[in-house]
Amino acid sequence: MSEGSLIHKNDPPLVRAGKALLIYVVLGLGAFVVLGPFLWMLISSFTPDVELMRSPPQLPSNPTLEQYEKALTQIPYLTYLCNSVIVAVLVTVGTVLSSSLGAYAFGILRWPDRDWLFIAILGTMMLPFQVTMTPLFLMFRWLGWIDTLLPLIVPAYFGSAFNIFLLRQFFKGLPRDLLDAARVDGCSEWRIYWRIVMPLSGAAVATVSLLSFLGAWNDFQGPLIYIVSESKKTLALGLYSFVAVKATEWGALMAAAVMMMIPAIVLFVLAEKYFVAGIQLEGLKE
Amino acid sequence: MIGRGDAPIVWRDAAIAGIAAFRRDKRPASLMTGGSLGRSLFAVFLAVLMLVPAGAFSAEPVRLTYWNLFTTGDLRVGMMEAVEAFNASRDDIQVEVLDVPIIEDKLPMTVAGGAPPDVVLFDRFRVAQFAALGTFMPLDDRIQRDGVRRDDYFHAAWDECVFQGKTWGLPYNTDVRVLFWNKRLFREAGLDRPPRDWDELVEFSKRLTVPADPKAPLKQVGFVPLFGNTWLYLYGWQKGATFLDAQGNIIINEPQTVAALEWMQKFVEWYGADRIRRFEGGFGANALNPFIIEKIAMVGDEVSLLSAISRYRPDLEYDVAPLPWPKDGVHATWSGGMALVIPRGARHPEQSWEVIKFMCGRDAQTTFGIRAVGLPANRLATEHPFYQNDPKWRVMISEMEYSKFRPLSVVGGTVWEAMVRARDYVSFGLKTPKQALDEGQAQIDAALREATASERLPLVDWSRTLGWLLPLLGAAAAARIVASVRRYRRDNYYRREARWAYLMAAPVILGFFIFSAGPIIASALLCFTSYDVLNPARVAGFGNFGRMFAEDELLPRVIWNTFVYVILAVPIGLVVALGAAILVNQPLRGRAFFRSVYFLPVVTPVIAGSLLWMWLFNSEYGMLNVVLAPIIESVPVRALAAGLTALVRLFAFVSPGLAEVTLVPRVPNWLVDPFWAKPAIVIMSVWGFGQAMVIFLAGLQRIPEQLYEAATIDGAGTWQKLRFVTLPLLSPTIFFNLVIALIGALQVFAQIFVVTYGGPADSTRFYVLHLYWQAFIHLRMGYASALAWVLFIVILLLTLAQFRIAKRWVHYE
Repeated sequence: MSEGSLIHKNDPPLVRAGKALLIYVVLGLGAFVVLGPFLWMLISSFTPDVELMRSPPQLPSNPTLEQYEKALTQIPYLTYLCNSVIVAVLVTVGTVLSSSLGAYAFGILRWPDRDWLFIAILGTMMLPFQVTMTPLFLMFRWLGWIDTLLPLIVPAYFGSAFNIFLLRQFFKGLPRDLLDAARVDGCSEWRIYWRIVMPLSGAAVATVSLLSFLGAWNDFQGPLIYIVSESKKTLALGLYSFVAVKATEWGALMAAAVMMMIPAIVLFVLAEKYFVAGIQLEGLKE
Repeated sequence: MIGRGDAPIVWRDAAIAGIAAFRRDKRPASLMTGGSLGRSLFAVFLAVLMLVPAGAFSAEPVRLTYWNLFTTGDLRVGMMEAVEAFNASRDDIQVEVLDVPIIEDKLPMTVAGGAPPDVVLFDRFRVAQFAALGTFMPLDDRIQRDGVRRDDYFHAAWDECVFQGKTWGLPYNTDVRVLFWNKRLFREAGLDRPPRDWDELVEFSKRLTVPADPKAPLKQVGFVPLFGNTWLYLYGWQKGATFLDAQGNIIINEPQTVAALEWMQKFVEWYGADRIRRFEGGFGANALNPFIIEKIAMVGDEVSLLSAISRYRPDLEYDVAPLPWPKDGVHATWSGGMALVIPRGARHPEQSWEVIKFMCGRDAQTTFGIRAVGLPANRLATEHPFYQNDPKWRVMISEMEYSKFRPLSVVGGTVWEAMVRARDYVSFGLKTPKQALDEGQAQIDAALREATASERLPLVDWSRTLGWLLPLLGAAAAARIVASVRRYRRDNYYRREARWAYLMAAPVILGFFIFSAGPIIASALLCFTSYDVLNPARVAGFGNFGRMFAEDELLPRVIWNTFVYVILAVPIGLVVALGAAILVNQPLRGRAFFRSVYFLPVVTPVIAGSLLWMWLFNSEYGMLNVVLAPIIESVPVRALAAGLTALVRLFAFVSPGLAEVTLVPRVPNWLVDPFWAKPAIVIMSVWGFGQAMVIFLAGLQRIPEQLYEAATIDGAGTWQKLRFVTLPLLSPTIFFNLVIALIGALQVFAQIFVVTYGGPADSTRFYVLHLYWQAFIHLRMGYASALAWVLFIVILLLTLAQFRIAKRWVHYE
């Protein structure tokens, strides 16, 4: 048991139990507030239209799959799913590689243009999206990439400010002596990056992977800008079209939202093990 | 919070805007192109750099495309049937339909981009405005050549496509407004016929409203002019307003229009604004339309309600009648609908015209009308027995004779917006009808002035602009390289490290120049232009910045909205996230579960999350208020309200009105109440606290255990450890989260775009939404760029200030 925790090992057993109970109550309330909306969404997606429109709302007496049927008959779900997977996986690989390399250079190495470049790159994080979008679209058009998945994927291979910042913060926290020792032993910077820094930064890398995967999965302005054809749409854009035309069919909308969330949640649960393990590993190190 | 796609959205269009600038003035384009070889090399270069085969995602070949606005229901089915009939009848032309639910903001961009669709189904009331910008091809020559006659169509529908002496499209369908009345509810109220004038309408409406008690929640209403599809235009026309002055300019503050709005306001006051909005929150579409589920006894609506009834509730006992008009007014109604247009620059205009001619011809219109249960714009098609044998359709068709359409204007979008805004402000009791309409008129006049003034500005000379810009940038880059190299020579060890650094950071540095720096410079140039995407950019100097202070009357409100949102969302979100992080970091069983649960909203796609909250916030069927009601109506909260009431009344000497104040705790009317809409958006954003929590958690776990041990030895308690060990050591993480949250909050867009679209009464019109609006609804690309730059500078300054202040409180190891 950590010395830093709210429950102290020197506390009398009753106090410890009381504290634990209090924490559980607060955590439970939080979980209710966070999960409640999902639960209601799930319930609504199984409620027939007529029962949905009751005031005050009640549980459905005749659960039905009709809302899912309605949503599915109007969305080429598998096509969207496939596109979303391609984009999200490739974006994640690209972001982790390019951002960690960049973060290493900015966080660990010393070089002439480092500081102003870092500040400039950090600045782009504050840059509202719309400032650069016009010229970017122009460029992708010039390359003939409109209505392809490339504009959604390629930029990830050139780093992203947020992830560089995040990784750099982590890298800077690594013991400097360790890296210097490796350098004295004749390790190349690449080896230090690949063999020492990256393995020690499991948690940070996992965080970045998860965030960039989710970012790509949930992104919808990107697809909206660059994608026109049905066959290239991602899930987010697909659902948006659905919202635009079905603005008040709540049951079908909830069903569509549930279906869009399922892959994200499944992936999250799978990645979460690694994610949590990564954080714990880091905790052990210190 | 970050990562949830908060960054502003639909900038695709801004993007396309840029193309146009470069396309139109070939010079800069040729600077970059240098033939397809250069382009391919650059593409290969990028592809190789990222190690992904580019061929896997190549574009499909282009076909004759038809952009369709009818993305759902019978209208789509009917139209598709007509398109299939066309495809079957022709070997030489094949139409491929593409569903594009929101066409207005996409079309100008594709026209400007030089790759427009071939035929577009476009909302007629916007035809004039977009025609004035040069979006469409005039069709007059072909109309004359092929003998297409105006008299074969409903005149109101045809004339809405004619602007500045040219015909820009053929009308496709129409949607005249009539009074739908529920016979069963009328019978129950002892009535047997529809009202004939406004006085009767009011009287009948009161008799049809249940319950009679004005405090009780509404179960059924007679008539509310806010419902259905009538808006202020209709009542204005009925009062005798023309919406045009002697010179043909749009005027929305005629006395008749003011009177019409006052009449609407009386309705709202009689029912109570809050009560009506609550009731309205429960409305659905189609099968759940309030008229279909008999919540409204009378409604002014158009053809689509008739088709919805025939589809979802064919046994509904109802009838249609002309909409009642005031005794001192005129018999008038309103119709709109779609037109088929050919965008300028379409590659096959002759074939496109063939498609339009077919689709608007008698046979295809009959097919469409019957299948879609809609009213075709072609009058000949309505001679079919399907229409003539049905008394309801006959009412609609005869009402077309009295039909008016929204006045045509180059600033049609602004006019419509001003009308809607006036209605909303009045119905929320924020302004009087006269005030609201006068302000709307001022906005329209300003837009018109701007439209004419910008025509006199000189065109942008791109070669001159780039002529000084490029050498300047080149010189700066050269100076920097020289300086770097000089420093680099000095030290051998340093050189080795620097060489690695440049190598490893190469993708990031390249990415910075290709995807950020270059585009930033290009957009900076745009700030000083007046640019509507379709016409060449003009030099506006600092006009766009001046506009922020002078002409853009909404901006102060927008800034205030954004400020309130940031002030609420950022601290609340951070405190919740930090608290959650500390709690889930406790060595307790099941903490991983809670951690995952709290992170769940972050995983949720913005669209899904927005929908979910819209449903929860729903004032009639929303679950949130069911949960909140027992808390809000509990004894302590009531006592608190009573105490506050007494306190406020003490200040009656300041303003006598305060003596009347009674604070009653009630469940908020979330998204439909201008006061509660912002808190609702804040709640949605705080719900995503998991993002910041995870980062806090990572920070917490990096705090060395020895420090806590040392603190324990020094006798520190739990609280002291939190205060003197955890918080200081966590300060870099807190700082990081603060910066990120602030940036995210200032740029919030996606949620509002989906959930409120800026409403009600502009209460959630935040900065980036306003910017979007300027860019894509009003096509002020230059002004929007200027707004974007101001936002950028504000964010930059805030962040720098934070870094400065942070030196004092952030503790780095």
